[in-house]
Amino acid sequence: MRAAGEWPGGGTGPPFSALPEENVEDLYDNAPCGYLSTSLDGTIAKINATLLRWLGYERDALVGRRSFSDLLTVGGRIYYETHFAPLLQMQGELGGVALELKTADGTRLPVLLTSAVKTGADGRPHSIRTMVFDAHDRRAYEQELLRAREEAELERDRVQRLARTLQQTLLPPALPEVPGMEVAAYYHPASLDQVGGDFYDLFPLSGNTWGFFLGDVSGKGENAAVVTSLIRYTLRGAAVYDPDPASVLAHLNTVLYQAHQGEYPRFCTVIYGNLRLDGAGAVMTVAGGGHTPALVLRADGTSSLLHLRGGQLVGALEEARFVVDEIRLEPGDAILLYTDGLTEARTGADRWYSEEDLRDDLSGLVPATAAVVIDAVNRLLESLGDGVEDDTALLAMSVPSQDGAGT
Amino acid sequence: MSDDAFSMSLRPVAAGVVLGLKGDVDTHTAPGVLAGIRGLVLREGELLVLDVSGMRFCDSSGISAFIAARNHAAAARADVVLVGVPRQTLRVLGMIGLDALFTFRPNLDDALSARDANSAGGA
Repeated sequence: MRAAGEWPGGGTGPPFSALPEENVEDLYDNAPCGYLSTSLDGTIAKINATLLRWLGYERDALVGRRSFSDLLTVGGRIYYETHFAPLLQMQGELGGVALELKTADGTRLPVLLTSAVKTGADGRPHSIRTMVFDAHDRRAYEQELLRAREEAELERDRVQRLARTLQQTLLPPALPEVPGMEVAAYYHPASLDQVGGDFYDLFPLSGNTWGFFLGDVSGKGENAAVVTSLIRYTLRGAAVYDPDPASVLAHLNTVLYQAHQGEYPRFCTVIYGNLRLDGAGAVMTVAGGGHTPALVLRADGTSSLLHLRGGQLVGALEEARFVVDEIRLEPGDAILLYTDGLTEARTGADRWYSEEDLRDDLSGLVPATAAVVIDAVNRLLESLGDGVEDDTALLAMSVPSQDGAGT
Repeated sequence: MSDDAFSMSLRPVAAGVVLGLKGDVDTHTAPGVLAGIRGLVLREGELLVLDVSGMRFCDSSGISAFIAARNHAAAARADVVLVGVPRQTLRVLGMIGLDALFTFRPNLDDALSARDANSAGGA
């Protein structure tokens, strides 16, 4: 602590004594900011040389002749009269207000104003003193910030477009037409700039048989996207080689397990199935690799979950077990495959939307065509809103009812 | 960052080692957990106890950690016990067909005393 009266340099007087003598009048006139005094009605009473120089006016042109608001732009004048003046009157002082002044040659001077009401000996206000700071630098800085922000937004848009494009390459552009069936799919990204790890596909095998799958890769972002690509091509390739659903998943398991040995483990849950048209309906042979159970909607409005319990997730274990079941769809029946973005949506602090909730919410849906089912789930997703934290992929297949309602 | 909410502890016990995970096991913290698990030296017949009773949040990264623990222990012919797995995580493990791979215990005492009983019975 420095003792009172002791100043830097060892002197005992105030530091001003070290400066050349200051002329107060010169300090006022040539200060690095503008000074302006006006009467209460705004008429300019006194103005310093700095401000005159900035504005390009002679002293006589302003003092006693013009009011402060004459120096403002039209917008500035409105702001001054509706905000600045009333606030100043109420508070007695006001600082840091950004306005533009008009100079003699018509150019604009961005400034920051600080004003105080000066009261006389009788305690009544008799004038307003205003300090004017040149805000060119600040304006330039603000414009620079604005430009940087616009650039950042453009860049973000670009990245989001790229992510969407990549995501679209990971999903089939459009489902093929399957004669005698209706199919529909939907992909709901949880966020625009994340490439998700949900995938699905439907493709012809031989004769009247089709392969389909839907699944979910662990993790997110570009690493998940790489695995998603690998999975899609492996599944399609494996199905051509040996279309038995359990063999297709075993093949995928081997590929994934070997591809990521020793690294960060990558695995997926997936349902793979073959669809064979059979008479008026269709027969599906479905293998489950640890995925959420498919939902089966019958023509009479009843619904049930197709549990493939014991089927293990794919890619995590050297030898994984898959569970296979067969299901027949009659006219008016539908099946829905979905990822757990839907069934892991939060519906409360410690509550999640479950497969059973989905089954109950979709029962009574008649006719349950593929498009109607996807629509119904979309409405559910909307109602869950922010609770949906993960991507959601949907694939629905239905056999049209024969009473003509589906045509 | 979730790192603040996460901590990992390692404690040797007679039967083997207890790896404790507290807080959020997610994309940010999982690589550290995986590295921690792979660095463990386990001998045949030893026990790796993964104590997650202090775990608040577990996504698929947490499941990765369980699988890594299981695979690491299996390679050394050691056993894995999961302690204090939250209900929601148990549900997910059941869904993905991995519940049969693990032994679950409600708390650490149970995990270690059950082991002692087994060892005593086996001796």
